[in-house]
Amino acid sequence: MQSGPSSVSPATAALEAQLEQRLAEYGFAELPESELPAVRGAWGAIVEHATLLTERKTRTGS
Amino acid sequence: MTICAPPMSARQIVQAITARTSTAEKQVEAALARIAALDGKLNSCTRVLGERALAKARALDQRIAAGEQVGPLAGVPFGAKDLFDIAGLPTTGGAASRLQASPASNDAEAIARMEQADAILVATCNMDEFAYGFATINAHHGTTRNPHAFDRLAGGSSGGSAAVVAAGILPLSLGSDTNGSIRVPASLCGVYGLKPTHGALPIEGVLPFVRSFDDIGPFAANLEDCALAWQVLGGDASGDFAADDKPLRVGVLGGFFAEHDEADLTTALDAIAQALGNCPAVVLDDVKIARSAAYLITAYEGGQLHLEALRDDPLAFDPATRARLIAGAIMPPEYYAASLAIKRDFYATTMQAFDKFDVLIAPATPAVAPLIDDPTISINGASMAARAHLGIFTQPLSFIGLPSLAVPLLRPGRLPLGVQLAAAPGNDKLCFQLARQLEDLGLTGVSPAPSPSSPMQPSNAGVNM
Repeated sequence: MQSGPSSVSPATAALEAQLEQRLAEYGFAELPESELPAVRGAWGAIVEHATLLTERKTRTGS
Repeated sequence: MTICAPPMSARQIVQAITARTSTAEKQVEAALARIAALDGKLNSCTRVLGERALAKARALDQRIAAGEQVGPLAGVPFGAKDLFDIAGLPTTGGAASRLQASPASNDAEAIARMEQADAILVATCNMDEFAYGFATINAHHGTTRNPHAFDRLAGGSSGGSAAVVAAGILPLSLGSDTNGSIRVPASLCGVYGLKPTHGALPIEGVLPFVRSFDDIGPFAANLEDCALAWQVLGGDASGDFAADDKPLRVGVLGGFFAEHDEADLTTALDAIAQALGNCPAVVLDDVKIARSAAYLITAYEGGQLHLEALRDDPLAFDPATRARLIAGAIMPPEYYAASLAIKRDFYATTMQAFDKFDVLIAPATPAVAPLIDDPTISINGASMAARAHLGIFTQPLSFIGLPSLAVPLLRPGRLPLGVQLAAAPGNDKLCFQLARQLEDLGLTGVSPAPSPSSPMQPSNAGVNM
């Protein structure tokens, strides 16, 4: 799965940019390089779903 | 009997054993022989518990010979997904990293209830590691194949439990369903599978995945056996599961649930709606967002559960699960909180629909079983990974704790497809009542897999068998 569409909202872009920082924060700084593409793909899916939630919040105000 | 003779139904076995035309030992021996003969290709079982099963069977036969009363599942061999505690064995969750875990001290409560009813556990069944997937592709145990076409997936994560029943190896099995892990493989393998009301069946002694949604339930090759196992697991096997003749108010879920590329599903749901008296289409708001919330809650809780082990040795996890677990573990907690709020809203919306309807019908999967060599499905013209997307129609319903019964469409000679019948929490019985009506109308029911004694041919991509 790709990390998302090429034109993304600032919130989505911020989430995407957080990946490496969060990996380090949670103790995964030493994760082998070979694992990163799959983690990036899984993180992309989370960003995609989280973006839907954010859009709904903006739409409904709740 | 020949070793590959198709098994009797659970009710037929009970009848034969109590009438003393068969014995529990013979039934268990036959089940073990079927596993030995058929499971090499299918790969549905992970551990065969022959010694334990035969000991239980002989003890049961002695009780019968002594004239003792026996339970409602007397002598019925069954399997259980490899995440139920079994006394004396490690509970693996399908993970190679847990093969050396400390053995469980007791059987899971669900296993205990089945065996209190005199059913006999004979095997553990394959699954996606830690129940995270809809495919039953397991790096340690291998991929479970679909009994209807060996080149196709059985679905998951309880794929072994579905396949062992669909292949006619065992009449009953147990699985777990967090986002669709009973209903998806039931649909792809063409058997009945129940995800009960959340929390209604005993989860004690089951390796957790996402406690907010985890449930256990039965698979069976006919409706009566599925209902009987559900009653036994719920602690009350008395009474007819579908005795109430009150007409049911039924709706067919549209909108999000109609967005698939499987023309046969549309035709089948139209036929069901018509046969039930033109039951109306029901469109719920925000189903897509509910599914996203379910996805995020799953990722977060699953990730948090395994965080410590992931930090210690991430490469000990199945390559198919570790990246998703790591991504979930590092997810911002505020998205988890937002997802829980959406869950509350979606529950309230759906409960309003149940003011007007007793049961809602939806597809169980958006497609037939995908090819193992090309594990993708097409949704709205887009190719998507089967492992992540086979559960798009099951996730939004289990997300809010509804009971949902996967029912196979009657389509002999074609790859299986199922629908799910969902009711308000606590109304599991209504799902069974409607399933009986649909069977009586000739619209649903099990279409047997090809005979185990004749070779199963590979299927062509996109072509029904």
